[in-house]
Amino acid sequence: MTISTSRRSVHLEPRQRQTPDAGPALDGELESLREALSRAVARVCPPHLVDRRDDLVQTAMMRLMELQRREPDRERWTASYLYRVAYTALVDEIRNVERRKEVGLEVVEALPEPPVAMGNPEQSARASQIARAVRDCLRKLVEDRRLAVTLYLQGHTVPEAAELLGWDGKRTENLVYRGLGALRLCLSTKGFEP
Amino acid sequence: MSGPSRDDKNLPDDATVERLRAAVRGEEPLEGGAPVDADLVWRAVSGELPPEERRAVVARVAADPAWATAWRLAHELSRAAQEVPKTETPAPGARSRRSERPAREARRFRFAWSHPAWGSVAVAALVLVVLGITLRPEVEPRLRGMDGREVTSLLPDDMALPREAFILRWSGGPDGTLWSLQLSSEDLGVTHRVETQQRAEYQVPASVLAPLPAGAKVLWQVEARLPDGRVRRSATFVNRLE
Repeated sequence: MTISTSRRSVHLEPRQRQTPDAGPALDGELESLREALSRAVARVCPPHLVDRRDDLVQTAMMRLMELQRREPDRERWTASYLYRVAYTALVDEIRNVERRKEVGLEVVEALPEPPVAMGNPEQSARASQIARAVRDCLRKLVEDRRLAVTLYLQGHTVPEAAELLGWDGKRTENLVYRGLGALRLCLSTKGFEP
Repeated sequence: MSGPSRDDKNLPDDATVERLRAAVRGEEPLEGGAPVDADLVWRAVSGELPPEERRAVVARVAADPAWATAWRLAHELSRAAQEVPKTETPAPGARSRRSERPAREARRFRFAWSHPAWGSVAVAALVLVVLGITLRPEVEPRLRGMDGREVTSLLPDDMALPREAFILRWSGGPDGTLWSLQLSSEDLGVTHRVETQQRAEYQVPASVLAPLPAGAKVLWQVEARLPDGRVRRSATFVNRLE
């Protein structure tokens, strides 16, 4: 089985003996999971990983299949378990991508590293500066505000943030509200008007 | 969001919030940031952790872009997992469960699939034995592009090891190779990682294994950083706790 992505080609030797229950190889049964992974990576991964999205998903799927092959107890493979395993593999692979500059094990065709920034380099640099400033300003917030604003900026709604933080909804709303105001003030003192 | 004092001029509007969110998503990882504990993040996002521990994880998310990326992924995927109808769980074997073939026919199919051409296999095995070649029951998936080398476990697959001497050994790298190892329990309830050690063996601390019952499977994988800078990763090996 040869799996091709935009940047590499991986070849898996077939097992000598395979049973139908040993884990189907990239067939329709796992397609929904693959699609969910692709959507999640496309939506939330940083721009500097944009050229690695296909690889990230592919690697996570391969790790998932490898684990499936070794897991005889079919009952364990609930959707939540599959997604959790895939998620762990994905985070692990992101860490590996971030860490290594070298050409990895799986790369057969040595290709030059493409540029990592998307779009206008000036815009990317500006966005990166703002992000660092946001993190610096978050650090200066009172802890409860910091936590509430952090979840809000990560894309959670106020009710979601309240539930995750274990706080009352009204209190969380207030913390987000006040925290965003303080964040904006802090950013303006640093010369940023987001 | 309706706040208590909407007239505050310092408050960012919705468009500004979206720009801030985009900027946060775009941040590059910190140099020397702490490794992300993916399992911890997942348990926090899915609500498995108690609130005080969830808050501790959110504090990491606030401080480290890598943790923030992991958090967003966990949020997306845990939500996607909840949306999967239970009847459409994409589990291995689901195809056979959904099948309407009579069980007897399915068994026959499975038998035929798993026992192809017994006569040919016997002859081939005999030839290999005569040639002094050991035929392994299964061939592990192998990745090409490894210059003929691969990282292999020196322990038999599924071998049970004592809790007090759970020593993992492997081979495959030249002198000067640096190794990192990660292991987990089957349910990912226990995860452990060791970075850049020089010896091709590692004794897993008993404290790491303490939550696991006797007989539990431990899945482990090593990654080799070769002297020339390339990186190799092993397959996932499985051993058990005695």
